[in-house]
Amino acid sequence: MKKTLMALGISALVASTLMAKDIKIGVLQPLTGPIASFGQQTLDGINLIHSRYHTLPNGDKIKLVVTDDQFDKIQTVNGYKRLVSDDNVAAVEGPLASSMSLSIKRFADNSKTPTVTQIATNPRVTMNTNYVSRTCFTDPFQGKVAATYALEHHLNNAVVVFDMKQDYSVGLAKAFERAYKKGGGKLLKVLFINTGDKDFNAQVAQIKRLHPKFVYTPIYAPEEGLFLRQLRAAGVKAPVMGGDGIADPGLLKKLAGNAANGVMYTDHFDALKAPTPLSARFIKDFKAKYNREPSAFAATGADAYLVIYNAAKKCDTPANKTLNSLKQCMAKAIRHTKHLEAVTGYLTINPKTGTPINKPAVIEKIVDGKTKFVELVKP
Amino acid sequence: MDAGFILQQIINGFSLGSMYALIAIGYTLVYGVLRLINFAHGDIMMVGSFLAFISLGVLTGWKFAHISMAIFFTAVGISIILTAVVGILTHVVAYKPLLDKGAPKISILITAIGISFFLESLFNVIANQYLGGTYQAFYFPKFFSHIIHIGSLTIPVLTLIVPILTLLILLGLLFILYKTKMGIAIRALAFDIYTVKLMGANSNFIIGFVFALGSALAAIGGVSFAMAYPSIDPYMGMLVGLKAFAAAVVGGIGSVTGAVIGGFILGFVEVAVPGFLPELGGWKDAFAFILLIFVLLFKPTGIMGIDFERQRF
Repeated sequence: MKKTLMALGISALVASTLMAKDIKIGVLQPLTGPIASFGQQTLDGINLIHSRYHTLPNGDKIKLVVTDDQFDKIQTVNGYKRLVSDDNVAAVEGPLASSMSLSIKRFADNSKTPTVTQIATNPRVTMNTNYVSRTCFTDPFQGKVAATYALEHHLNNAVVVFDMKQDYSVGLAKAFERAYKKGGGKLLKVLFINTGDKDFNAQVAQIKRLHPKFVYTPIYAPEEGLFLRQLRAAGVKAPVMGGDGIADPGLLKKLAGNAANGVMYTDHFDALKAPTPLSARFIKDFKAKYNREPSAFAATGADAYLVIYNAAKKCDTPANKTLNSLKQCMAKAIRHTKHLEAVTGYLTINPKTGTPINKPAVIEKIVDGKTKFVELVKP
Repeated sequence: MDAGFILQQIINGFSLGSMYALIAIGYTLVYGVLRLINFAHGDIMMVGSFLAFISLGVLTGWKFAHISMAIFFTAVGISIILTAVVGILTHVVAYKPLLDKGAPKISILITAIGISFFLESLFNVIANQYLGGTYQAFYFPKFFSHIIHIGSLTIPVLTLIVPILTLLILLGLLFILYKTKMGIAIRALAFDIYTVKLMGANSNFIIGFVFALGSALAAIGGVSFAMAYPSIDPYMGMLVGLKAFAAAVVGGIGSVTGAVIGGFILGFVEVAVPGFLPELGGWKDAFAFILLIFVLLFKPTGIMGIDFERQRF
């Protein structure tokens, strides 16, 4: 009995090495911590698209190794190192936030690990590196979209509130300010907050005094929720707009209550506007599996996975037998992604900047507790 | 800058200060008895608000709709009791074994920091696994957010209730410390723990009671905080705890009255600085600690400055 078992075991081992092997892809996302809901939604999207695209043409399988970065720089770096040196992943999807993506950039370069962040919009994330790429637009564009929208609606003076602890927030605030001033808008004041703040009465008091026509808040949703609540309680009625960092209507409604109504944000994707046949299918499958519409987080999560999957498809050849040559090839293939059918549209990545070309943005608005599509802005 | 505006800032300062005071009392009580700075105390306050949230969820079937006063106070009561139990547990599990072995104070301090991280991580897991996200909105009866208008003043009911509650608690606490047998025992313990043991008093029970008392007050502080800024998360106790600790030191650590005074002062500074100098609004967290340094420069033992060789609390 023992012998047969052993024989079985050995034959299974031999068979598995002869047949298909596993290629590991690390998924590094904030699954707990302040923006856990972003990471969870992203993971839902990745899991769904992985369940559909997990086998390469030669029979090799993609295995996901999921790690939590906790929206914390130390955890992010540790998680990234663990994925690269212990789990021997061929590529990493993530981290989600710009600050976190910036903190792993050096390690990506040193270990030559292709890394695709799905939603880190700070331009510096993919600068001066051949290994970190992204599948979303960047903050200069996002800031311009917001500034253009405000100016088109004659909201020609504004207050900006940003989070000075987040690279995303600092960069997006600057981008907005530049575009807004260039377009003839008047910046009344730039105020700052800190991640984790709960009391915004000082900022609100200033905004109330200035009577701005427009308030731009490139911060994250946990702070935005309480900020909105305190802003509206103080009687400020000016329209408020944020970036993709507040694109979590569920959390905003939970924290701000009725004060969430009327807030707008720029985002990557709207489930009502499927740009490709693949996204139509994705939206349908997502609804069937999770019983809700996919958010932009789910869609962008799927996008970055598809880019990595596509690269693995190209590179998983006998020529790239070692992990290092596979990683090299994939890093190059990711940067040379051309017209790839993905969930948020067709992706073509600029090999120099590691950023997709011509990625449109959508503007969304919360009306009566529901998300409403406002407009699609092409670059 | 009219009188109404100043009065408004004073009321807001009182309200925020009371929350710091409630937590500062816990620091001071434990310090008085064990000479231990219980750095996990800020997180005990977080535990209090989370337990109130979870109790409310269970009582309302996770709907949080139409919360009546009865349900709300039941939930707060459950939270106070359970938080007191958590406070006792931290002592029994983490501090007592070290104290019994005569470990140096610094080891116990490090243990306290460990407990703090443990509680944060534990509730992070609970929140993400079972409550559906790190950040939770805190619900409470509408009555508390009802706004009273007096002239140009807008005062939420809660802002009035919390300071009154804090003062009542202070009176109750002073009564316990000075008029009851337990209070005498606590003060005796603070004076000389070895003599109290020699006299045959159950020092473990007394220390447990002190932890329970401090934690219960932290739970009340946590619930007040969650009502004032209706979002709770596992890390909310960190900064609040540090500020309450600063309040306890400013007031004179070891003095209950001092803790309350320190809390009020800190609350005022935090409200007044951004209120009168809005340009500095983003730096308001720094002012608590600048104040701490400033007070200690002139009065190294704090405002109520206790000389530990002569008096207690």
